Amino acid sequence: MDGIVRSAFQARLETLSAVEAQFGIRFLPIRHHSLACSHHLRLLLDDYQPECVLLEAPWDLQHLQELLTSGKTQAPVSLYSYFTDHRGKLGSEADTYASFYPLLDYSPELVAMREGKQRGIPVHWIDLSHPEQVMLRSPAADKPKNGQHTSVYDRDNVKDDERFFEKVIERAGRTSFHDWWEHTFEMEGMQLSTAQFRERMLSFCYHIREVSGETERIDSAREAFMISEIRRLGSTASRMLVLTGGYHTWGIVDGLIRQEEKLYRPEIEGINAECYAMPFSLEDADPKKGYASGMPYPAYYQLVWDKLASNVQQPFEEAGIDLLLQLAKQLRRHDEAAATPDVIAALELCHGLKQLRKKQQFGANELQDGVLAAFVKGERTLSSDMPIRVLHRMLQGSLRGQLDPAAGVPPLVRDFYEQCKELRLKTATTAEHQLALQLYTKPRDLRKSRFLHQLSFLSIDYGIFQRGLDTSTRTGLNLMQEHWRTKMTPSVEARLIERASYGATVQEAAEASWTIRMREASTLQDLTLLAVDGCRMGLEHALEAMLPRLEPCIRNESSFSQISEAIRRIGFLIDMSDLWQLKCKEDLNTLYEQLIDKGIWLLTSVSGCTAEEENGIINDMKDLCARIQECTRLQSFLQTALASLLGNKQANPAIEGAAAGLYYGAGCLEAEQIAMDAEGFFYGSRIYQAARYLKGLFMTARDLLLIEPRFLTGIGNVITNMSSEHFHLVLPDLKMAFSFFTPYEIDRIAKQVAEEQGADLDMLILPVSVSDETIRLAGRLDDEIKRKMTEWGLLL
Amino acid sequence: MTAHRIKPPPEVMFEHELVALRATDQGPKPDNWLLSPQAVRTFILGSRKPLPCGKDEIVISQKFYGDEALVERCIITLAGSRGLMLVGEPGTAKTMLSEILSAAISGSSLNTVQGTAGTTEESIKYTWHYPLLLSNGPTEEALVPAPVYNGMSRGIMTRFEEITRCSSEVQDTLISIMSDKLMLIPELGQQGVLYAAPGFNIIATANTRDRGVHEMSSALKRRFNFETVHPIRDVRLEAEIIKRGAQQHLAHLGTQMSEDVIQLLATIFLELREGVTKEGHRIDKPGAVMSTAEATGVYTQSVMSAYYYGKNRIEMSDVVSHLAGTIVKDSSESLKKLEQYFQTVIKSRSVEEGGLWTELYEARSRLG
Repeated sequence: MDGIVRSAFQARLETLSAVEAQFGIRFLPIRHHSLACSHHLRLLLDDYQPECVLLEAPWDLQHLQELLTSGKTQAPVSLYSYFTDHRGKLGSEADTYASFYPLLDYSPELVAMREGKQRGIPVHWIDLSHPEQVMLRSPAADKPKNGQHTSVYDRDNVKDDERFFEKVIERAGRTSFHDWWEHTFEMEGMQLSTAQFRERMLSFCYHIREVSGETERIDSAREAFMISEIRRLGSTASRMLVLTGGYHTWGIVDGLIRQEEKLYRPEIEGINAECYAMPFSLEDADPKKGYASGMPYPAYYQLVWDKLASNVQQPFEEAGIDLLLQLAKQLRRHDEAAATPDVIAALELCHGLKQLRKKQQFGANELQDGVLAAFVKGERTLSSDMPIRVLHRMLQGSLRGQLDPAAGVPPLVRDFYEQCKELRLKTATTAEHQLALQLYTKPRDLRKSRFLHQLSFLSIDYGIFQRGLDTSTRTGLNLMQEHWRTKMTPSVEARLIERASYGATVQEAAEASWTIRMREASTLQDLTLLAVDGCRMGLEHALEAMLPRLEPCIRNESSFSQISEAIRRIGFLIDMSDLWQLKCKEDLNTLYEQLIDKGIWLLTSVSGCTAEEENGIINDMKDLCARIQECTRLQSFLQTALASLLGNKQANPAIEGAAAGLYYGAGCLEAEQIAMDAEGFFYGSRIYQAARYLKGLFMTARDLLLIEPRFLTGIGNVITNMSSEHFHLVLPDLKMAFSFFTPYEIDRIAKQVAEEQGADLDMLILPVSVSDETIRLAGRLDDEIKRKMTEWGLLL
Repeated sequence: MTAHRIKPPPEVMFEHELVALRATDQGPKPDNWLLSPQAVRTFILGSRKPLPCGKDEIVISQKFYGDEALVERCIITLAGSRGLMLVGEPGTAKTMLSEILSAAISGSSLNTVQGTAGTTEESIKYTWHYPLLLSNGPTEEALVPAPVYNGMSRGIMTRFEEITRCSSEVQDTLISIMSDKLMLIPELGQQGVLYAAPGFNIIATANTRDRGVHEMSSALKRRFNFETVHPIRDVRLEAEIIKRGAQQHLAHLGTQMSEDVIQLLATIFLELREGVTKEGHRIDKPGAVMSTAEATGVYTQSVMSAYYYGKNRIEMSDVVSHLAGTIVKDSSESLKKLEQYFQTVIKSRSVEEGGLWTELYEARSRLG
């Protein structure tokens, strides 16, 4: 069988030679980020002396080649292309589609560009543009996932057929695809002549093409376009070197044999893609970070590439030794025991494993094995395997590249870096940093906070807000600091580029974006939220312009909940006005009073709210009462509203309970009187609503239960006289009613209940046994719920 | 010869394989090793192609199932300057791995120190033949070598089982031996230095349940490369190991292996060890050791019960009894967890899958 396959490949090689001779071209199949491909590319350029190089890269980005090959540009860098589908060609929404094209020092594509420039050989980019490629495949594949951008090359055809590679790996005695690739192509390949290496690559690509089944539409279209470009450029050159991804090489060869190739280019009229070059990072070039087409451990291979450039005989091993020494140093910094003998032992192991695994040099796998055995002391657990974790970070790297300062980057990008520098925010590496900003004591920290809020508002994920004052979640109200986590990723710069049209500086862009949203906002909720965002970002003058729009919104608002939320937000602005030095404090106070008046006025309207709304409304009622404690006029106004609410006997029982509790808290009602009202629920026809009434009551005045024994007697009556079916219906509210008590109070209530029922208290705290049937039923129910949720797309 | 032993050592049990490997081994060998590292690997992980052995051909059987890279690291560690420390849960084949490594490298797995709380320095290094000592004074003839002495003088592997059960002082005896590769015997005066012959190294084992009993010193840890041997997490593989283990123990009975009982035991032990059923439900893990070795024990005992009591087939009542016996070691809590497992998981399977699961559930009264 092997013989048949081999002879079939030999026949294909002969075809290839004929095509190459006929068209005056030489193919070199490449894999993104393969050092051996780059190495042989240089040798082939020496040997073949082409008149031009044709590269599988989007034709519409070719103008960036000069910038990429500038002496002041340092890899890793990336091409970045994005467009917004305003005409809805790809879907119903005006979605944005974006893509990266990362290039490392040792990427064959970048090496080809640099060598071309140095040797005076033109390099032509012959692949379809990003929008064309998006049109040819499922648009969903290019939409940002979880806020992260994808890459148009985010797919590794060479690894697509898992079963095929499982067999290849097993036969070669390797542990993984990468282990096999590193040994077969990067290490052995480097020792082969260029002709032998090219044949090995061609053989590999022939097999993946054979096992991968029918060619997808996008691949056929890309190959057809590349063929047409080869033919077009072939009319002016007699020696062309064609560099394409391994998967496409044979497709192009077949296409050239056919006299007529059906060219299919999708219609992209009206789509204007923005294209930029931007710094990238080693970390983000790792497949574990999402760039599937790359090879893992980019920092390690960068080191190997550097060693190759220094003509070191064993570049993989030399790079490994450097990393081991750095690892020991780093571990010592973390107070981990890592001595020189550990390095020696790890190195011994690497060399031994190299021989055992029949490799010429030890590689990334052996390095990890060596560190695992020699550095990890004791059982491998989370607490002991720090050496392995540090090594993985080192293999991955955190270095970011740099663009030639003369590059035409949008002013917004430049301003971002300038601001970061001025505020001492780190952008040089992809390492994560924690910030604790002292807003009250350090002016620079306040500026940092504003800058980070501006970025967040623009959806630029450089800083992640972790803790601090947050009115939207009503958390951190007692905190004096803001805690942020900052991390530089390629998507930060990508987003900056996308937002460049908003303004030349981050503040300008944030203000422009804020103004657009403010103009579009029509509800009190949206406007007050924008007011808070504006203040956090330091856009006070913009806020002043917005305040007049709030008054009519307050007048028109008829929802108690929305007014309550607005009260909280404007109250927050007033509280923070000193810190943020707001000059419009008086205007805010006026608005606040209007909101409070409106809130009290709307209080009577909540009596008919639904069961789903009642918990939120009760909290709003409590909040409102707390805010007007010091104002006699408003208190009297509120008491009238509460009395009116209590007078409505058709009111929602939970709201009625809450109103009774608040009225009792204001000193307008005696505990005994409330107990009498409650008995209407405990013994009357409203028995099934008793739990909700109690919930409302205990949310606002839980001490009633502790001072008035009639409540417990009444609750006992409710529980005793209710059918099991109804009891299960009211149980959630009843449980919630008792969730407002402290553990000590619960204990006290339990004792009272035990005494009243003549029960032994110890009996009450015995664990409840659950039957086997119930457990099994619960298990099946869980499974069914999971199945349904998965079916509905709620669980992944 | 092997028929007269309950459990022959691997160098005897796999003698033909070792002979075949030695005859065909072309790889470079470290000094005093009987096989090259490549051949040691083949001996442990097996080979598909048969090797010539005299007039016959012999297939090298797989003896260790699990992480192949771990085996490779172990072999290379032993060829280097550090000792090898195998750590992990009880019953994860640490001892077996150390035995087959020793058998392959040095041709003997018997040069062993069994670590206990009562292990002394003498039982590691050397002691004296007291009548000779009293009559002739300290001479080489009066010296009785212990395993480490033996290993150093002959250049062979020394196995140290359960090293953390020995007191720290006894463990630390190894520090200078492993660093300097020599042993001082002050009683012999200037002649009292034993230099380790090439090929000497130590393979120690320690189970993680004994952690903290006698924690190893940092100085000693630095003399070892550590390898954590994890339990099997695949039912098919676990069943295969149980089957192979049982075949060795039951060869003299000539009984057929019952694949479905083995599969059932592999499932039960894996689930109880991991605390999660094959359907993904969480269950309480018993405190007892639930290793593959224990599963093999339960199967072997069940087969023997059937054989000696004249039953035609393995009865689930015997399986349940032996299962309970394995699980209830030092606390009744484990038995309660096993009962819960029967009442929920096995009961449910008895309804849904029937067959052996039903028989097993019906025999639950044998839990005790």
